[in-house]
Amino acid sequence: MTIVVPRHDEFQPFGWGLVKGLLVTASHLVRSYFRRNLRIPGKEPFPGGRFGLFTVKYPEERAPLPDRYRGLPILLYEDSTQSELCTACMSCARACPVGIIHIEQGVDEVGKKIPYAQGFAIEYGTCLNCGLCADACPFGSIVMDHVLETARASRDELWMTKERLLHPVSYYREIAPTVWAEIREEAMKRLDGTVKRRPAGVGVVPK
Amino acid sequence: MDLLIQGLNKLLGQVWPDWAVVLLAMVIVITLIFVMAPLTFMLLTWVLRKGIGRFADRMGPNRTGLGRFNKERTRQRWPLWGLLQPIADGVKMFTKEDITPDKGDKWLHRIAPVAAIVPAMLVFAVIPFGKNLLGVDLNVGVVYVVAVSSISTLALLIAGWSSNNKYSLLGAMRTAAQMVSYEVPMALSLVVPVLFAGSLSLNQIVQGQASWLGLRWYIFYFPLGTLAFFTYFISALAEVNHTPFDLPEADSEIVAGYVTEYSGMKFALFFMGEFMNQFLVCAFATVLFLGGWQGPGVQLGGVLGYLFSVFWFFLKTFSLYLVMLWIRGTWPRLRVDQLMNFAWKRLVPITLGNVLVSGVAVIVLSLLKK
Amino acid sequence: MEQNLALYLAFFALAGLTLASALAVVALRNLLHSALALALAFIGVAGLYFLLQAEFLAVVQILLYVGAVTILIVFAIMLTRRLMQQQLFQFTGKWWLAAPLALLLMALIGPVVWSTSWLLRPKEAVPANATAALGEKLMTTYALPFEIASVLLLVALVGAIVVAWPQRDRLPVVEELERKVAQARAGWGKGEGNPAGREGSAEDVGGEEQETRKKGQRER
Repeated sequence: MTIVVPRHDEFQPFGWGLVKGLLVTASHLVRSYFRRNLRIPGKEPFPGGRFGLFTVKYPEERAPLPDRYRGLPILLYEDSTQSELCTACMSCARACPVGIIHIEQGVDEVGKKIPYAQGFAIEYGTCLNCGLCADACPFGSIVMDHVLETARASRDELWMTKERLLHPVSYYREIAPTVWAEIREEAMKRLDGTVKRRPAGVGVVPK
Repeated sequence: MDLLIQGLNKLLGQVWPDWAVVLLAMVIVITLIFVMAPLTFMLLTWVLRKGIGRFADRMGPNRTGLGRFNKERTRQRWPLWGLLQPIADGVKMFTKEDITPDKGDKWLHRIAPVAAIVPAMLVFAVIPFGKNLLGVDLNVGVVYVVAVSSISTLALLIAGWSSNNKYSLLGAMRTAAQMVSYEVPMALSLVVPVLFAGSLSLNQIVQGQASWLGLRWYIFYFPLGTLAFFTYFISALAEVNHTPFDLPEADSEIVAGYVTEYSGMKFALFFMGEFMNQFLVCAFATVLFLGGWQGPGVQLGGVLGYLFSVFWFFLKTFSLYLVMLWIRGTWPRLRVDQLMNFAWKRLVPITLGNVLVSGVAVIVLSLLKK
Repeated sequence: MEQNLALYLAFFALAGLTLASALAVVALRNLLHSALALALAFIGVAGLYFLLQAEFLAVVQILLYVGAVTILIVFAIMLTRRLMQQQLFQFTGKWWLAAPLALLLMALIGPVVWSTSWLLRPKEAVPANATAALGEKLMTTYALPFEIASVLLLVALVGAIVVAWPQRDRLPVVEELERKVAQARAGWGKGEGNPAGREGSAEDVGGEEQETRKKGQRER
């Protein structure tokens, strides 16, 4: 497919090209005082056209992140039943290229393995933000959060245990609706099976 | 400075001997220059960053300023305008580690920034900032400015050589070649207002442009003065290594050219020298072509006349500086061979022809007047 | 009285600067440092011109000597590779021959210098607009030396360009290579890049060659 882009680069005699360039920049200067031009993902990239101020006054204003933005991984639990979606299948631990996901599967009183992660830890400091764990998860329980300020004051704070990783599904639905819409069906369908195979009370997040 | 000497004589004439008054006047003028030059530099860096930002559809620095936090510790509504950013930059440059290359020439490495900034400060002494407000009224002011600014080329060469770095040396050589090449059309286009004014003294040149509505400014002496202004402006852009002639020192081209191995205060001196040179070139162009401090309100006596003259001078100089910024935000740069080509094959013939025609015109006009 | 004192002070300071830098030029071992000391000596001389109320000459001295000649010297030093590597030794072997000659020279020039009455200030009053007077004299009384100097500069300029001009006659190897490239290019244009299918187009190849030669000459 041929795309023709008008470049306006025909030769202009008498140095007119220089002057026209100056006029273009001057119009950018003047119009930058009258309009702001924030990009909103999902809609057209520059809703305001080419002109206008693009500056986002961080941290008071934040540019909205795309749904599929890969921040750091978080675990999800369902709102109504407060039960975790994770079944400790180790898919994410296997998919992680740097091997920072550490999972210990829970056992019931008999000693049989249950679909519940007794210990779940991620080392945020080494995370590549690649999102392969979220892609690998068949249950839609580990997803990528939209965090930007990930600095912590000490290394210990970067060792994320399960209670710090858990977030309600409603949170994720708000920040990444399109992604959640894609994995919701599978996740919810399998959740019932998972809850059935857990002993009572296991895998429920306290309020 | 003559004004200052007169004023001081009135105050201290009875008590102090003559030479002490002159010495005091000199000390005051020098202190003023030492204070004003860095302040101008700071203002110019602020204008540069905000201006270039706006040309690029973004704000410049807007976090450092004189606002204060509101209760929620956010700076939501205070317009800060980034006015303290130059001070922040200054603090940054002061506190950076000073590195001298080991195998390079240590003494030359230290002297080069000084030799780059001293000529810039020397030129401050002859520019008339207002009615009779200039450090020294040399009657060869124009040539003095050109001569002293040519000393900074030597400083650049030394800087590039003493860094013991291939790219520094290459950048320095290219910069020096460019500056030396563009001095010729610059000096030639300066001959034209000198011909019109009949004097090399800057004060005389400004006073020769006194007119109603600025009609006798030399830029309006069509076509000779206008052409001279444009050739002077272009050559001056090349002299101060400004876009579109900043290949020898552009970041993406040769790291940083001759200042690659400089950090901290030495780099700050080079940076300051460059900005001061840009300001001085604009100031010089206003003095020679745009009527200097002339403008309405200058004829008033007393302090008001002086204030008006200073106001007009700075207005015109800053407008020219804004034009320089505009050019910086718009045009691409020329390659080194293209810029040398442009200097020798295009500008020199144009300026030579301009000088010839201006000379003839001045003689013909003076004959006609008789 | 104070003016005289100030004059003496200024003169001795400038003269001291000039002499010290001139000494440094011949005594320093690093060639680049000598060149920069030469620039300092030029500035000292310019200061002396200022003292003699020849301001135009002083600024022109700075402009030409410091701003052009010194830069030329520094360029020459920097572009000559061997010069910067050796530290020049200032005392030559045959000093027993050079010292008496230098003393003889000093004995000849010394009395002349000593017996002249050097003035710190010009004897006659310098006209108010010295530059205009200088210009007028240059164009009327001293027009011939002025013209000779400008012809000299022109000759130097033309000589420099002639020395740096790219060679007109190329080596035969280069010509042969150019011919082969032209043949290959002709082959790409006609057939599907077949390098062997050009035997029958001898005059085309000749035409191409003539074209490239003509183009080369025009570009030069």
